[in-house]
Amino acid sequence: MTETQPAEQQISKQVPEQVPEQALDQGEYHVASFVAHAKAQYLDQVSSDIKQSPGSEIHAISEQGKIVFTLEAHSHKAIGREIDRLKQHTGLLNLSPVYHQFLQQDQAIKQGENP
Amino acid sequence: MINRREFIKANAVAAAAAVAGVSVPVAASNLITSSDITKLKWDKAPCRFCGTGCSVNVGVMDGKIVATHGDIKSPVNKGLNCVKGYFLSKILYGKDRLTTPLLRMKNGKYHKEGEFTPISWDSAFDIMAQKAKETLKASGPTALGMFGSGQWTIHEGYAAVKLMKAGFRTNNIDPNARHCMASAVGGFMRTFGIDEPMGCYDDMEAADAMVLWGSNMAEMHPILWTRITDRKLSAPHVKVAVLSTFEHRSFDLADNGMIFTPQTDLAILNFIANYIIQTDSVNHDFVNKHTNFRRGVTDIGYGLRPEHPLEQKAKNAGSGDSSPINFEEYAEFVSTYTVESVSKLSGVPQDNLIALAKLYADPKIKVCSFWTMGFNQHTRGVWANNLVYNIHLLTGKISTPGNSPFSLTGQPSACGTAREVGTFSHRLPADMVVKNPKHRKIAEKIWKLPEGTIPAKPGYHAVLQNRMLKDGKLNFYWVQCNNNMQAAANMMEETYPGYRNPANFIVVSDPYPTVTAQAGDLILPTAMWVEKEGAYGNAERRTQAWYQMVSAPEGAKSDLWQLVEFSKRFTIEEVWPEELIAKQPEVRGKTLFDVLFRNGHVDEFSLDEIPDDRLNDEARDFGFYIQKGLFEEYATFGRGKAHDLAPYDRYHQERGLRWPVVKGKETLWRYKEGSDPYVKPGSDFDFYGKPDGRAIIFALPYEPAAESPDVEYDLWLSTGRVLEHWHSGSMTQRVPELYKAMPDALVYMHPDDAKARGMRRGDLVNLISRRGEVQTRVETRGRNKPPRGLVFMPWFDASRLVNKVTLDATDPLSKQTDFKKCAIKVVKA
Repeated sequence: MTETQPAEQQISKQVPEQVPEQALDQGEYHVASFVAHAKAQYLDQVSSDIKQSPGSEIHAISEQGKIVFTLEAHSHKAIGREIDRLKQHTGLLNLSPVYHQFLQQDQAIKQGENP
Repeated sequence: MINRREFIKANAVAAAAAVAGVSVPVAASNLITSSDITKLKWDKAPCRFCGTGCSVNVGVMDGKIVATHGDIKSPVNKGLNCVKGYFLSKILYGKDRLTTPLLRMKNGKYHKEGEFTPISWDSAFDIMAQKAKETLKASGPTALGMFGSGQWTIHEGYAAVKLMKAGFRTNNIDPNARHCMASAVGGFMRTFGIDEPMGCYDDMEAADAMVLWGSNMAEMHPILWTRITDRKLSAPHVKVAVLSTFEHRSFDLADNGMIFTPQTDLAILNFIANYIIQTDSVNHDFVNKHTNFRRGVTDIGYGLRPEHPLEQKAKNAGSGDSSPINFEEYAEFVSTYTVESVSKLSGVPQDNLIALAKLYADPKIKVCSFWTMGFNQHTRGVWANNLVYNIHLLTGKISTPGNSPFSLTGQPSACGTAREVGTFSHRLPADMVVKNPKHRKIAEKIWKLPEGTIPAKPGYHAVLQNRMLKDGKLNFYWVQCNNNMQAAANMMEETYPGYRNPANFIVVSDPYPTVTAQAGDLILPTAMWVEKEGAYGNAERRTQAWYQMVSAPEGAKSDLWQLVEFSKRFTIEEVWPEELIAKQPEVRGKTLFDVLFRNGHVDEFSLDEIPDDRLNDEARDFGFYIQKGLFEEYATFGRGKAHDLAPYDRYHQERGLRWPVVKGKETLWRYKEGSDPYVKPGSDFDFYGKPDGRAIIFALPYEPAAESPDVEYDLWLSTGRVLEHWHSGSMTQRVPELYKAMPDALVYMHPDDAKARGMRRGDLVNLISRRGEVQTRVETRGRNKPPRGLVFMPWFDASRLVNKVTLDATDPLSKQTDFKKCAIKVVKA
C-alpha cells in the first residue's frame, strides 16, 4: 500500500458515486476546478448560478466569498461555455480556473481500475 | 478504491482549495505530485499569453499535453489561472496547425501571384537565401528587415538581433511590442534613463490606493486583478480609482470610476500635479535631493508621413528636446490646470478629480498607478508616461512597497525579449542603442566581431517598415511570431500594399495560417511554447525559463531553429564588405552560423548538460546546448550594469527572478537604498540611470489628438482587446471555445447614440473613416459601456478588420501607434 492510500480512501467518500451524465455521453472526460470570488451580498446568487451548470459541484465556500467548484464534462468546449456564462454574473469579481485535465477514451473506460 | 476520474477530480479540488486558502474535507494537497497514478509528467512553464508572467504546471502524457494547472509555487499567480491560461494546452492542437513550408508558386516556380504550395525546408531556405542575397546585392543591407515579437523567447530575440544587426548588418528589426509599449520605454528612458518598472507586483498587497490609467485589468490582466481584488476586500480602507474613455469591467471594483474625453488624461495628470503643489503636499526633501525639472518642447506632430498636413503644420515635429527649469517655473506651468478647467475639458466631475488627486497628495496613502495601452497607444504616449512619473516624484511615492508607478505589459516577453534584449530598430541589449559608438563597440566585443560591424543608423521601426515595404525600399522581409497584418493600423493604405508589392519577398513564420501569413510569399511552420526550450521576462522584471516538454508536430520548427539554420546559408563574403572582413581575416570563408553562433560563446555548453530523457530539438540539431550558450552570452551585456541576470541553470530551478540579480539575490524595488544593491550608500534614493542620480519631472502640456470628431465624422473610435481574444487572436481564435465566446468584433455604442441614428442592437452597420470602412453589428449592452460620442470595437476578428479605419498616427517620440483615437461615422449598412 502506498502512503497516499488513506487520503485516497477519504476522497472516494467525497466524490459522487457517478460522474454527471454529461461527462459520460462522449469519448473524453474533462474536469476543471475553479476559484470564484463573489461580492458578499451576491454569494448565494453566484453559488446557485454555479449549481445550475451541468456537471458542477461546489466543494467549499470561504468567509471571504471564495467559492471552490469543479466542472466535469465530455469536452473542453462544454466547460468553456459554462465559464463564459458564469463570468457574466454581475456579483462576480473574479473567476479563475486552477486545474484542468482530461482523459481520452481509452483511459476513461478503464475507470474503476485500481491505480 | 478510487478510480482515475475520481483521482483527477480530487486533484483538481485539492489544487483549487489550496489556492483559495480554504479547507475542503479532503487532505489531498500532496496528491498532485504523485503523478505515477496517471503517468503524468509535470513541469513548469510561464504562460505564453499576456505580460503578467503566470507560472503554469503542464502535465504531459504520451507526448501530449493533457493537463495544466496554475503553479501554486509561483509568487505571481499563486496557483490561479485565467481563462486564457485554462485553454493553454489546446493552443498547440488547432486543426489548422501548419506542418510544411508553403511557397507561392506558378508552374513549379516561385511567383508573387502564385498559389501556396507545400515545399521542403531545404527548398524554403533555398528561395529565402536567394532572395536575401539578391536584395543585398541590389540594394544593400537596409533593404533587408525583420518584424519580431514580444512573444519571442529571450533566446530567439537575441539570435534575431545578432543575425540582423551583426550578420546582415541591418538595424531594420523591430518587435510588435512597438505597438504595445514603445511609449512606456520612451517614458522610462526620458524620466529615469533606464527601462522598466522600479517596483514589482508585491506593491499590490502593500498599497492603500490603486489607480488604473487606461487599463482594463479585470479583463486584460485578470490574475493581477485578483490580487487587487483580494487586497481591497481584505483591507477595507483600500481605494480603487479607474479612469477610461468608456466604462468596462474594472469599474465594478472602483470607488471612483471616471470616464474622460479621449486625450484629456494629459490634462488630468497635470491637474493632479497642480493640486499637489496648491495643497502644499510636495515632498520637498525628496524633490530637492532626487529630481530635476525640465520643460519639454511642444507641438511635436503626430508621427505621420512627413508630407501629411499635420506634420507640415507641427513646429517641432518629432522633437524630444527639453531645457532645465526650476520648481517655481514648473509650478507656474501646471497652475493653469485647475479643477474647473480640467473638469470642463475632460468631462470628469470636479469631485471625482479632487478625490483622485487626494490619493496622490495625501502623504499617508501609499499609491500604485497602473497603465497599459491607454497611455502607451497615444500620440503623446511618452508624455503621458512622463506625467504620471511627475506625480509620484513630486510626492516621493516611488520605489518603496506600495508606492509604485507601474507600466504593465501586454506580451509574455515584451520586457524580457523586446526591451531587455533590445529587438527594437534603435536598440542593443541592456538599454544600449546603436547610435552610441561606445555601445556598438561593447556589443561587437562581446560578439567577437570587428569594429564597425553594427550600423550606426537606427533602422526602420514597425510603422516605418510598412511604409518602406509599400515604397519598395524594404524588399526582403521576415515576420516571426506575430500577426501584423491584423495588428498594424491603416492596413489598407500601408500594410497590405507593402506585403503585396511585387518588389518584395515576404516570409512569415507562424504556427497557424494567420492573415499575415496569407499575405506573405513564403510561410514557415513554427513550433510554439513548450514545444521548445525558452525563457520570458515579465512586467516586473522577472525572468522565467522552461524546458521543452513535447515535440512539435512533424515539420514545424521553432523560430530559434529557423534563425540559426538560415544563417548557415550565407558565407561572410556574401554579406560583409571586404574592408570589414579585412579587419578580422579569420572570418574569411566562414558562414554566418560559424561567426555568430559557433563563436566560442554560444557553443560553449555541450549536449552532456542535457539529460538523455529531456527533449531539446534545437540543441541536438546544432550539436551544442544552444539555449544556454545564447543566454549566457546575452547575460554578459547586463552583468555589472544594473541588468544582472542569474546563471541560466538557476532559472530552471526557480519560479523566476527579478533582475538585477546580484550575489544570487533578486531586486524587488529599484533605486531605493537597502533594496537595490546599485544605489550609492547614504543616498537613500538613487536614480542611477541618470548621470547625476536624479529623475526628471517634465513640464509637458495637454495637446489635442491627431484627429477628433467633427461634423462629418462625428464619433470617437477606440479599439482594444477583450479577455477571450488576447491581442490579435491568432492563437486564441484557434480554440473554438474562445472563438465562440466572442465570435464577432461588435461595435459597442451608447443606446442613445444608436437611437439617434435609427439603429437597434444587432443592426448591421458600416464604420467609416477617412481611410476605409468596416462592417459589423451594433451592441448597446454588454460589459463595455461607451459614453455618448464614442464607440469601441475590439480588434481580434480576422473577418472584421477594424484597422482598415484606424489612423496610423503615432507618438512622434516612441513611434507607437495610437489605436485609441480616430474620428469615424457609423451608418446603417
